[in-house]
Amino acid sequence: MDDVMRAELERRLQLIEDPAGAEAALPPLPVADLLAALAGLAVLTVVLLWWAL
Amino acid sequence: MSASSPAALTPDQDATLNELPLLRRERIWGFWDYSSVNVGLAIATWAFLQGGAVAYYVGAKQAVASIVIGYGISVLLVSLAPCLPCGRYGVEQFVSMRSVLGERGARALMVVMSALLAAAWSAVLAIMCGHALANVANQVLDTEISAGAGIVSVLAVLALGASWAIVARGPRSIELVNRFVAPGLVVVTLVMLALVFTRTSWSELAATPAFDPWGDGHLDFMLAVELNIAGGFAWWPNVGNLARLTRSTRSAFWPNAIGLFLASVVAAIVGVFAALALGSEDPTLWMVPLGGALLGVLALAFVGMANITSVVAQSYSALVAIKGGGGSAVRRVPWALLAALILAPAAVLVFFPEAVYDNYARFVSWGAIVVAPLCAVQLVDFFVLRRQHLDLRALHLPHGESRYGFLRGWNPVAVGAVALGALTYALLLNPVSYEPAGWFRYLTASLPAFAVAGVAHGVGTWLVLRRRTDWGGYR
Repeated sequence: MDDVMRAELERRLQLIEDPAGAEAALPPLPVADLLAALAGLAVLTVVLLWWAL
Repeated sequence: MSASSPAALTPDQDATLNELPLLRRERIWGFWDYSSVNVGLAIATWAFLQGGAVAYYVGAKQAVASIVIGYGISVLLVSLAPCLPCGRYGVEQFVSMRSVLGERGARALMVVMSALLAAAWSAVLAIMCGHALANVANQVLDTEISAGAGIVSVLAVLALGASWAIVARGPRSIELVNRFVAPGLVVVTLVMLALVFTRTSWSELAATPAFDPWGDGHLDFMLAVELNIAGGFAWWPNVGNLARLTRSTRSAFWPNAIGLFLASVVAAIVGVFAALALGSEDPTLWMVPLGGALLGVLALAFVGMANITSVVAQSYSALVAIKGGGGSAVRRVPWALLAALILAPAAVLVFFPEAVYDNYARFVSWGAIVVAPLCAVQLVDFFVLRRQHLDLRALHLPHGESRYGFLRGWNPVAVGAVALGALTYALLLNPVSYEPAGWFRYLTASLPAFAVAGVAHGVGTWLVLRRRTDWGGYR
């Protein structure tokens, strides 16, 4: 990695590593979203197996 | 070309074209932007090919169930890893894998994925584009071009050239193209579905037997489910670098349900129905019999060209990966030249159209052997072992200085777990002959491979790597 690239990386890391800054990492996906996706898939699977088999 | 004032940025500063972590203001895709890119990626003719392949094992009813269940499982897993780590941190997909495999392990993986899988899939799509355009010529110009003719390869090369022209302009052009192509693909798919039912009724379709089943109903259904699980896992090498461009973790997660799941499922179901109704698994042969000369040719031309959007999306992902993992020499290569180099292997493969095109199910299976265990290892690593926290600085340090250094840049536990998963897959489903072993009928092959790799990585890390801080930073 050349000096220009390294400097740009450092600038970005400082912005992202500041937890209170506007460029901080995004928050995790809410657990409710994951549970909703899992529940939807489970219901769909059971209904389709009942219908097709 | 990039999110913020492209003219002001050098290629080194434009992080949408290299492996630097993206800032929030550089994320260019919201929910619907990423959904439309996803739809454009999903409804290429590979979704129709998937449907045609499923028609070999099961009839219409079981095909619907196997497609929804198979894609549902694997798309959900792929949406969790790599989409969420990449979306949350704006980090390039194979850079994020340094926390799992080590710097050298991630680089080796990137080369294999980008060079081999991207080339193979680009070739399949380009050949299909060639087939479609050749069929258009046969209808409009009254030519008699066969599927293996040299002109098909030339048309496929032209399709790769068009893909290069788009991808060379960066991710903004992908978004722009998909804004027009994605809705058009949805319309073509739904019109095809309607046209299938002008030729046949649901009861006739449901009674139509599969093309070449094993004769054991339960085993055939599980083979169809496996084919669709593997089809969903095939998105793994591409989606992380696309999710990285989204503005929220929800936007990195849910559009996969619209694009990779719903659009793929609808297109694959249309593919099965058309294959069963017309007695052919080749999607480029369906359009004219279904739609008549004018509508069929228009649909065929559109779907043929739409393959280009899929080549573009996956080439962009591979390019970002290679820029990131290829070292300083590769980083100096201009984006457009690198785009040409990454499409070059596909341009060779398209001169063997029948060998590539006729091995679709095997390509899917070969991908799943590696990708199902990889997805498991990444998922366990990010969500269970690291509780969704990555050290972004350590990801970008050389392995000798990084907490993600492991043993000389390799994580032997993760590599061993992936190998165990791949072995599990191969023992359950022969990847060459596609012949299943006894337990396959209860387990499939991808899911046990996923489970074995995930458990092996979790237990191995707990027992071995947690002893020292510099062995991956788990302690």
